[in-house]
Amino acid sequence: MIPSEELKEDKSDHHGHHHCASERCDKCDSELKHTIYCTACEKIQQYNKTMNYFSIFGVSPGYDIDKKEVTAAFERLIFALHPDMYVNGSKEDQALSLSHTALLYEAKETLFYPFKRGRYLLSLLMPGFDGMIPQPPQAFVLEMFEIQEELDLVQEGSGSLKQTEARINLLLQEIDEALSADFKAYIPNREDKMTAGKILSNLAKLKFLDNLGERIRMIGKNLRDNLN
Amino acid sequence: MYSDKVIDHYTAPRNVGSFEKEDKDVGTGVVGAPECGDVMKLQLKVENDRIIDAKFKTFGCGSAIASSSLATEWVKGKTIEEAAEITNSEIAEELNLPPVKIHCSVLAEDAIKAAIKDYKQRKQNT
Repeated sequence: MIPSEELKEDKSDHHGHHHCASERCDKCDSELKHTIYCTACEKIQQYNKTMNYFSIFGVSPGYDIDKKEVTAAFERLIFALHPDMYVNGSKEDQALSLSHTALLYEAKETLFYPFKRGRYLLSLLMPGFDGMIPQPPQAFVLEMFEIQEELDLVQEGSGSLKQTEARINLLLQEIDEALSADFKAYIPNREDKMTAGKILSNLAKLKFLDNLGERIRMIGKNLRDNLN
Repeated sequence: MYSDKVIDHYTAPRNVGSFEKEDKDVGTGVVGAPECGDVMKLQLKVENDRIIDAKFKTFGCGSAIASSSLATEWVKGKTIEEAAEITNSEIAEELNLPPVKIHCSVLAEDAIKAAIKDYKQRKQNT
């Protein structure tokens, strides 16, 4: 994870926006759309303290992201920053090209998965957050165990895969909507500890649902393989 | 990345299964690890404050299965006070768990403690 000092600063220093647009190119001083690369003069950029996984793609930090926009920026940057482009470049640019390429993959991976995106976003917003996710409510853990057992039945040939899948998708949708609303409330008001607590509680649930989703994909694949 | 002991427990897990949850001599602990999304159920059957049998069911990685399997082996024959003293580091050490899998042993410790707590609550209510 790369730190983003700007977002972590006391909010009294803020002027209501924390956009990457205020960053300027190391070389030509153009305003940067992506904080790791200048599209105006094609100069690869040094790391700086305001850089984060959102700003490198030129999107504002938030739980709701436009995956198409991130994908388009990713494809453009992964090509522009490819180490092959820097074979004749300075040693420094070559090193940056390598590390920025790794950074792009990590950033995209983080932004594309709700659990990782939410946890990363919270680390930018909440001073002192170390990434530790608390235990989800006990009722939720019991529900997860129950759904896992339901999937055992599906694998044994009884039980309905579709029904369990629908149950998981409903849970996922509820959590996604709650995270979206809670982050919208939390970003402008970071003193709001209750909302932060709700965000943590919902993040704690996502990994369990990820596992269930993964198991459902495996079962579905096996069922299809057996039919063929 | 798995140690021989983890592979042994993973391929031949001890004490898989379950007891009747409503049995007053049974304590049930169901816990989950938010880091990996694994869930674990551990049950203890108690007679005169001594654990006479234990069962588990774990949905998770090899380390989580091995940790809970080992936990059921270790608690058998112990008093509930003795079982409550089993720590995650003892489990992690026995299984040679790498740092990224320590939370699996924490889960097993939590499961023992949750099962004991459940058993005590049941006893109080009867």
